[in-house]
Amino acid sequence: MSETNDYVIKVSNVSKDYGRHHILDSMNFTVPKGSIFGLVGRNGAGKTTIMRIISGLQKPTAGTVEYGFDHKKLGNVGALVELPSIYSNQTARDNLIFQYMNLGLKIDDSIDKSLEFVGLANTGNKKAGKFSLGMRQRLGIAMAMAGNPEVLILDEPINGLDPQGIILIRDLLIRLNQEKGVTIIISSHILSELSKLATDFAFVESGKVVKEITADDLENAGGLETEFYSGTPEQLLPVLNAMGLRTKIDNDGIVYAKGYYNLTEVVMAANAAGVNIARVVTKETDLETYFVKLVGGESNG
Amino acid sequence: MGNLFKCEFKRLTKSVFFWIITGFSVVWPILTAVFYRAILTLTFTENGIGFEDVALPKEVIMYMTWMIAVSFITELPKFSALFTCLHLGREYSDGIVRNKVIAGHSRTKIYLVYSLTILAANAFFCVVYIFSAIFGLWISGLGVNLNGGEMFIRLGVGIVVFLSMVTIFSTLALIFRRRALPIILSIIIAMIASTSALVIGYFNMPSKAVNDYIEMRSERYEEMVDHGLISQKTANDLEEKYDRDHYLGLGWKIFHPVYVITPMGFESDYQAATTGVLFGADLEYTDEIDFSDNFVSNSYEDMSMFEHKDFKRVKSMHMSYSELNLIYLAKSFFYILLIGGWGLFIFRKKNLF
Repeated sequence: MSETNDYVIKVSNVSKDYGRHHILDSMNFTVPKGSIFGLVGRNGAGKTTIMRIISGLQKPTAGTVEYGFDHKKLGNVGALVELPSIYSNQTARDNLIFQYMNLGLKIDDSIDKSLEFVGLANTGNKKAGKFSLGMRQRLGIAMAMAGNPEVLILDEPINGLDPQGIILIRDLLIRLNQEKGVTIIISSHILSELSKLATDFAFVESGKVVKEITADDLENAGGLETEFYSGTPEQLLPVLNAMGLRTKIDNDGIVYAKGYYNLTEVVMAANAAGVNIARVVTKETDLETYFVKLVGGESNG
Repeated sequence: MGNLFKCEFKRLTKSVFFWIITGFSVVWPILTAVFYRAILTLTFTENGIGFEDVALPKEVIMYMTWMIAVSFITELPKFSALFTCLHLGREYSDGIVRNKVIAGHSRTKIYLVYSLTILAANAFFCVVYIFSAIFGLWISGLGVNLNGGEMFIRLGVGIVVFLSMVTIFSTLALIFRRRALPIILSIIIAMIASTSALVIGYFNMPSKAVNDYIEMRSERYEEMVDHGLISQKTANDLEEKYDRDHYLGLGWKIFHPVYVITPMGFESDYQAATTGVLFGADLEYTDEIDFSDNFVSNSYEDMSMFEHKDFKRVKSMHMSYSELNLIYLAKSFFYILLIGGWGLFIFRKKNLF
């Protein structure tokens, strides 16, 4: 593939059946180059299956996966699907040495730099089997990062981590994306965390992608929504519009405004225009709310 | 593929099991040789002879050299089964197989590298075992007779026979994700193979050899009747009791095809040959397998009293080592390719997660 592609992976009509069970049903999505692509869906929606297919661990029953980069080059795809793939009876350093050897890489100080990058430089002779889950996840990421892959596929990388571990992994992924230009495809149950990371989202439901959206568009579609109660709602509208908020008024005279604002500034502007604001109710539509709205029912993924 | 090989060999050197079995392969044959020496010394002492006063016949030394050196084929399989399944099983349990697939290695390459590395490791155990046996024979004072180096060829063939069994273990380890199942299956297979090899070896005689034996025995009975050693009735009764079906009965019908198809009779065939040399003390047999061993052991029962040397000119009773080596090599390579190929077919289609 030419390097001019603006995508790294294009999934087209991919289906996967296990006997009579349809796990993926003509799934379509495109992962933009340089993005952190969040796969959002309930348990059993098909996130892990599509990640396995993209990683080459499984073959689709139908459909194609196109790669916008040389995915056959050794080490150009790194993945951490479900559990980290590491020798539990070896040290972190030995695990990385084995991975380097697998990829035909020179054993040099980049191994120590990688360990430092993921915060495992001081683990010494401790076997990976004795690591905490967070340490194993970070080692798994370091292994996946060996060979400087163009794409990193991470399935639930923060599952089961403590808050500090989550922050470490989040920061690590942001650094990988921003400093090394790695495109990251990530799924997580913790949508609040995913929303802090991802630049693009695909919402998966029953083996299909029901919506693809960028983080910016998601913010515009959701974001902060405020209900303004005023005796003179028609006069309040132009004040809010002047502050860049998108507004509408309902039959009961409640003014709805979308967007972020400084409440003090709004109140002062309203006073200056001679408009009284009696009550303000705010509601933020986050990724989870958006997901629930999109697929219906309770969020589980 | 070179990268994967380097990595796997590096991993072998870091495997505790690998070094434990290497250690066993060093210690066990040396202890066996020392034990042989102790038994001989004790036996001689009981007869008022010092071990140093006796010059052991070279046939006896050759017999002991073979017995101790080739015993890897019965001693190592259980350890090999355990080592192979634990070593390869870790690749699944720790998710390393998928790591390699994701990294961009083809499944065929991964399978071949795993299989060949395991075969190389097991061949290493055998070589260590054989040289430790020779060392043990030397330091124990028993002496070493490798039949002018010819024994190395037989032992080499034995290693290939052993590796055909290892292929079963590695294939099981690579097609089953759970570690326990291939370990249990492999150890059962190793135990069955070790014990049944002896049974199968007992039925190694071709039907032509049986016919020739019965014909020779009839002549022997006639001579015995002529010399008044037995009555005609006794001769007739013996001929009826130890007829063709006595040798080619149900056991032969079951085990002879297994003997022909599989390489499991290896140890028995060469052991029979060596035993023939030992008891016949006839160097003419040193490069031949002696099927007559099966009949000699029976000849006391049927009163024909045949000895190995009586079968010297009977062609069907013998097979040259060179022919036998080729047959065992062919059988073993066939099994390695068949079982390994089947495993590869499954592995390529397997979901690796």
